[in-house]
Amino acid sequence: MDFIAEQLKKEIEGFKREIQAEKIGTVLEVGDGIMRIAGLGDVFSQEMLEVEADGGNVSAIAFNLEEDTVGAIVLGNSQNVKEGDIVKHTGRVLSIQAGDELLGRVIGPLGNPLDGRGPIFEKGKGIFMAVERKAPSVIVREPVNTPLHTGIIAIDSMIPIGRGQRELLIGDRQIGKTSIAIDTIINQGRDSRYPTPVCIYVAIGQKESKVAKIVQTLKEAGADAYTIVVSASASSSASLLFLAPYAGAAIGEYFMEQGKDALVIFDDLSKHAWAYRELSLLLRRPPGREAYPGDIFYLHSRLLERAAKLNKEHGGGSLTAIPIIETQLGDVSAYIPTNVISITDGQIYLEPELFYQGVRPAVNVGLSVSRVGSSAQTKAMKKVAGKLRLELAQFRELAAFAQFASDLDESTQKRLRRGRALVELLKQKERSPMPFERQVLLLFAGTQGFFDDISPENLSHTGKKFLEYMEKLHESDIVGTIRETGEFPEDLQEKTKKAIEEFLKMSD
Amino acid sequence: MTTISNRQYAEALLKTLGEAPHKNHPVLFKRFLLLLRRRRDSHRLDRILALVEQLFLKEKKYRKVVIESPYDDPQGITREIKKIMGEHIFVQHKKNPALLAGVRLWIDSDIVIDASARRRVLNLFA
Repeated sequence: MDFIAEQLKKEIEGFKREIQAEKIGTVLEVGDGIMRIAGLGDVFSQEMLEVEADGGNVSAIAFNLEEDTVGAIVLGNSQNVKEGDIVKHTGRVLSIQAGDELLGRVIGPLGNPLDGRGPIFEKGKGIFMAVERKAPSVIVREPVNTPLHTGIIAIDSMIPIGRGQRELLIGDRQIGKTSIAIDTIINQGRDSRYPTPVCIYVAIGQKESKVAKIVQTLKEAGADAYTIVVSASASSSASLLFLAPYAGAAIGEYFMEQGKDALVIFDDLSKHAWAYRELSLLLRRPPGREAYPGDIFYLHSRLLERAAKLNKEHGGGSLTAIPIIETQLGDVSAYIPTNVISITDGQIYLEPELFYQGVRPAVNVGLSVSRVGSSAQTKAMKKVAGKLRLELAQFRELAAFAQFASDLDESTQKRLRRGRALVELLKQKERSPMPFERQVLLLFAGTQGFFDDISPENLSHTGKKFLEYMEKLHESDIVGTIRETGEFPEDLQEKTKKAIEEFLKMSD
Repeated sequence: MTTISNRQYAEALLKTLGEAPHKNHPVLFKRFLLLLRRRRDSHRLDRILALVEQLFLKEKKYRKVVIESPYDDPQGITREIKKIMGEHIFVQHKKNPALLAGVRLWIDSDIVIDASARRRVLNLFA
């Protein structure tokens, strides 16, 4: 009663006589998350609409502007909306509140908290970022020049990712795509050479149990302090699945414009394309190839173009995007995969054959590429990884040949031993991202042939012991130097060689 | 079969009825319904008729005003509105007790002036 009296008092004190004329529309039909509206002749595309439904106002976005009607996607519960309900336009576009308060939280695509920890922002705090925004122009950008270490040796050495790059993770289901993404997030907290970026994991159409497991994994690794999870689960409507990646990008842009680095992972854009196809078919947009609408390329290009490295005049921040695409039976030439491959600055292709052979992460180094390349690598890594891809390619050719040859000369056998050792060194367990200085030491030992005579079964254990040895006895003079300077000069290489020889003598 | 929009149907019907004498209107209308059935567009009839009304009023330079109020037939309001908007208005009254008090005016079906107590109460507790 007191509350009502208080509200009435406020209303009387602030009583205004003005009555406004508003342009409105009426709902003609509603269902499956979309509705058709008559009227609203001056509505803008992507404008937010408010439907005065029985259970309270429901938000929608104007999508199709047709001759007599407006097609809109419903953002709330469309079951409350009925034919004849009044629709008003708001004059604004959909935006999401962004701020440091989001760190460690799980939110929906509209910014509502999903983790049961209560409201995120206090009244008046947080900045509203438009979910759909224009990508930064050419003038405000600068070339990608800072590494984003994933902690995965195969990627950081041969397919390096830089801050501000778009690198696609593509492969069949259950091949390790999400695993690589999560390890990348965890490694950001362990990479002490570069500032820790804000990580945003956008789950599109994932099972809620999977998202819960990911949140738990990040918490256990201490990564939740710098991670935001945006989740539109499999039970969400197509409109929320459609909006989720844009919401994630908007949050990333907030941090980028503050001069910070941000990493956004879209898991996965295949489901995003399916949701957009569903909306477009329901709105009766003409279907094209595989029933996707004609602007399916633009759907992803305008999203991924928002990843950028800004120049110093504009804060120097960056937004790195790692979109994930799920292929069917390894078909990278399908419609959506080829679209996204042509948009991104490279792809990491995960192959089922390698996975089942036990090579995990199952990265096919031959088909994977990073178009940014060594600009996104430390000098130390450049030195040791320079010949790695070539040596592996030569090994693969020789290995095929060696199956049929009985008597091989010494140099061929040496190459085969080297190749086997390198393949073993590149194998890595889940949730074990490796800081780049350790990767440099391991790859240096491998490419210099120190591990050639160790059997592949023992190599993983030997590598682990070697790194422990280096950290115990050579932390300040070798490991720490590589970490701090990012370089691996000749004298340090000589010192490292001596250290490796001593280690191998001790192991014998 | 070519798709015909609601507006095209409405314009065709209006023109046909406009050019024919009044006594032929029922027959013409029946033929129109058969045409819709043949083209499987019967479900669009109510929208087409709403457009016909809109186009007819626009042609005659009339505006349609629907007065929604919780009371019975507010003649006083009708007179006031005619004074403000001129005589070329077509007024309909709709009784809606949910408004509690005041009136809600719908002008040409796409502008609403909501001076009802219901709106104030909803804003109060929004």
